[in-house]
Amino acid sequence: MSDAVVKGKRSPRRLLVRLGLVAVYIFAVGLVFVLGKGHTLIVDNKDAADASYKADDGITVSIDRAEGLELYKGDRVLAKLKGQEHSVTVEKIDGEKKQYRIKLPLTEDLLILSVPKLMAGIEPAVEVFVNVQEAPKGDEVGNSNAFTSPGGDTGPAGEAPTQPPSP
Amino acid sequence: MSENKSIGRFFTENAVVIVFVLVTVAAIPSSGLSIQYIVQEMITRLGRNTFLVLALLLPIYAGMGLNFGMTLGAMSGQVGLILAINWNVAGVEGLVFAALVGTPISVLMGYVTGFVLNKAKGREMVTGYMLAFFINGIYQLVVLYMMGFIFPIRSPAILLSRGYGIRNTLNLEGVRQSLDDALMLKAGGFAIPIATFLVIIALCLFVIWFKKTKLGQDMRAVGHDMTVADAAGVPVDRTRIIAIIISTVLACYGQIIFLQNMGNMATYNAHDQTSFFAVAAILVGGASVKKATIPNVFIGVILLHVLFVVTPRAGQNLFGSAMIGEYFRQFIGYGVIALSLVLYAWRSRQDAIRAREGLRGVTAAAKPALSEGGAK
Amino acid sequence: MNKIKQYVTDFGWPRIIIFIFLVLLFVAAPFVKVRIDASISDVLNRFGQNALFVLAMVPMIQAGCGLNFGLSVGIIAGLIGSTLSVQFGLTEAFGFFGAVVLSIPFAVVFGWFYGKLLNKVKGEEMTIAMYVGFAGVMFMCIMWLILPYNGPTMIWGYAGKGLRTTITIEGFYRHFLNDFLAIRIGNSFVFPTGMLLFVGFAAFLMWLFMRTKTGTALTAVGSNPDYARASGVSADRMRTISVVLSTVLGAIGIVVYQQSYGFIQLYTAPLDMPFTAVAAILIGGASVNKASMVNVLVGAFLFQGLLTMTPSVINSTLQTDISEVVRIIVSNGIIIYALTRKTKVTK
Repeated sequence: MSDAVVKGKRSPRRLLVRLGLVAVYIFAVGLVFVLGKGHTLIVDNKDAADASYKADDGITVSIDRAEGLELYKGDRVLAKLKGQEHSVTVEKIDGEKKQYRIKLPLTEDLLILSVPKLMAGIEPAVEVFVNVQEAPKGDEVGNSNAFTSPGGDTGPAGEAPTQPPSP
Repeated sequence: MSENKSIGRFFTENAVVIVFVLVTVAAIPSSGLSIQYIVQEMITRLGRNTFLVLALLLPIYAGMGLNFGMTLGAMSGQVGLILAINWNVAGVEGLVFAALVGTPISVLMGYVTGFVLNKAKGREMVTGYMLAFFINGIYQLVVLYMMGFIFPIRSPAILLSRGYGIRNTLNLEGVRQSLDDALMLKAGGFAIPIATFLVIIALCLFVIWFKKTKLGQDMRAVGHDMTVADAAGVPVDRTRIIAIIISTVLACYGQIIFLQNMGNMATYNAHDQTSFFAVAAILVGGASVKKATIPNVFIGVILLHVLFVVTPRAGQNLFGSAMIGEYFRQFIGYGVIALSLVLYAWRSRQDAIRAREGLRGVTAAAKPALSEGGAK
Repeated sequence: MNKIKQYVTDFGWPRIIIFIFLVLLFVAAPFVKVRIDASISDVLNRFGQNALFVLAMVPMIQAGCGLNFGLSVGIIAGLIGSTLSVQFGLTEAFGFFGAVVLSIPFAVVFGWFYGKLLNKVKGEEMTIAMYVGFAGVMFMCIMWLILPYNGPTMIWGYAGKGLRTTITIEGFYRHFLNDFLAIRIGNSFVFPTGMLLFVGFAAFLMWLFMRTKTGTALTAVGSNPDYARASGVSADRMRTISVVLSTVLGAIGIVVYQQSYGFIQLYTAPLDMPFTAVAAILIGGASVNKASMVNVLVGAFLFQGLLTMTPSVINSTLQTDISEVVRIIVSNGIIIYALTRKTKVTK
């Protein structure tokens, strides 16, 4: 093949281009990973156990530009976020508004934000939430028919009809 | 005389489209669905499926027939999504992440497919079909047994309760509709996912541009006649492999787009019907095994999916059974592929016979003896 | 040394690998508490069940029509025959032979049309065969729901309309062949003499047919079309005959399968069966355009052996059900290997 001769001539340049592409690829993967990393934030409005801070009643918390979440004393609300840096705007029941910034650790999925702590300026306001629940059960692999026999066990599916003929 | 012939030819060349339009038009009233609903479904399904169907264009262009091996690209995209969900990468970024992760896998898959298909010249479609099932086995081996066991999986929520293997249905909550919602236009009572359509249009432009490049021209030459292309210095085998690789990578992205719209992934079944739907769509749109254009893709997706939306309801209303509508849908789907393939094969034989006769300057009397037997 | 080398290449590496794998499974079986006698019995049973399907591949391969992925057409004819047999309440010999006799006319008609279709598309038979088969099965799915069957064991209990997915033939012709002259050793070993005799007889008949004038003409059309044409043989006619023959064998095959399995399986069950038959004959060493009785028997045995032994042994070893995945990989890998071989008579 005529490729061989051409390859020899352009070899160093080709290698460089290829390495460059790999570098771009790795960078791109890292970029979207960091930008898109999802976190579940539990917004918490509880008093401290040792009374070092108290929770305000009837506050409205809005994260970034989302709708405000109303929290009474002792409430906890879930918020799903994307990315690591967020602005938290707290509006007290008397109308007083204040904006805070929080930074979430990249590798943690489930975190808890104690709003009273945040308002009192006690660090750290955001902590890792230790979840003691089990992973959800159900939805087993079940009968081995599912992915081999061509619609052996079928059912009119909603979107895409089943019965793939699969040997 | 010749007028009848050309009308006849028009019908055979567009038979599939005609049959489809007729059946669809007949079924719409009996389905009891409103035009509003049908149009919205059409818009949604166009956004969801077009990318996958576009992936079929290049292999047809390069003379390799219908790329049933696109399933491999779909599986790669699914692996990408599994990892995206595993590491909790959300939104459009999650989709890009899945696409980036899926790309090297689908390039490898495409290379394997192209390599195998080159060894089965003349039988590409059957081989591609079987290869999809073979790799499905490997996919299951990896996803059902190795993930969580050899490959560490971070989110226990996506594993089966036995501790390893991904669950049957994966909730794509983090990335659900993220491409669609990115630029959703609500107009005239319809919701139109502009971002998705922009991506589709970008692909169309890519295909148009690609056909003008040297590589694209090489593919056209190979598709036209492999021996002539080889004589002209075109690296036939390599060009074919590249066509399949591109197709597989596009199928990977297309499957990601498909799944983000669905919102849920049937881990072990989602890719099974991918090639069936895409092939049926492009054939319904008027394409053949040797020739396919971009309009074929859009027309096909619209026709096929309108029929798929309408027939189950029509079947239910007419026969009182949802199952019959469902089976009817499948029957039409498989039937149309069979019909298209038959028409194409029959037509190309007729063309070959006519060409041979033209060369020989044969009289009408001697025709029957020559068309007997035929090449094998 | 050369002779051994020649034999190996002739036999084909995949077959050797599978044979060794099968032997290993049998050796490993007792170590993982899998009973050998039950296993052999199972293998023989499944071999007999599927042998006719594999045999059905031969006529079309020899005539150059490729692998019959559209075997579903024949199976459907067989299903019509067997459902009619149960509907009419035929039992034992009448049940079995009744089913066969009722299927044949359907099989001939279906096969004839199917053959005419394939003649129009020389060169792309296999893909089209597949989709014609699928479309046919789906069409029959609709038919099973609306045809006026009313045998009490056959229809859905509640709705009362349409056939059940699985219909038992217990009390009709279940194990009719299997039990005929069966040899029982101990608790777990049954040698299904009747069925194996039937299969052997069918293979013998096929072997004879291939040596008749029609049979040789058929082979000529497949291996050397120009010579056939020159000898005045009509390729189209031979090909149609091969398709009809294949379809009829498919119909009889499903009846044999049913009597061994114990149930009539309707709806989407026939979708899968052509593929297992194709894999089996390819494992047996056949190619896309050449197949012999040896290929049929060896292939069916090896393939069913694999299907029987892999689940029991590997599952016992790994304590998990990995068998389906292994089966998918092996059977499809074989088909792909066969499809990528260079053949002398190309398309």
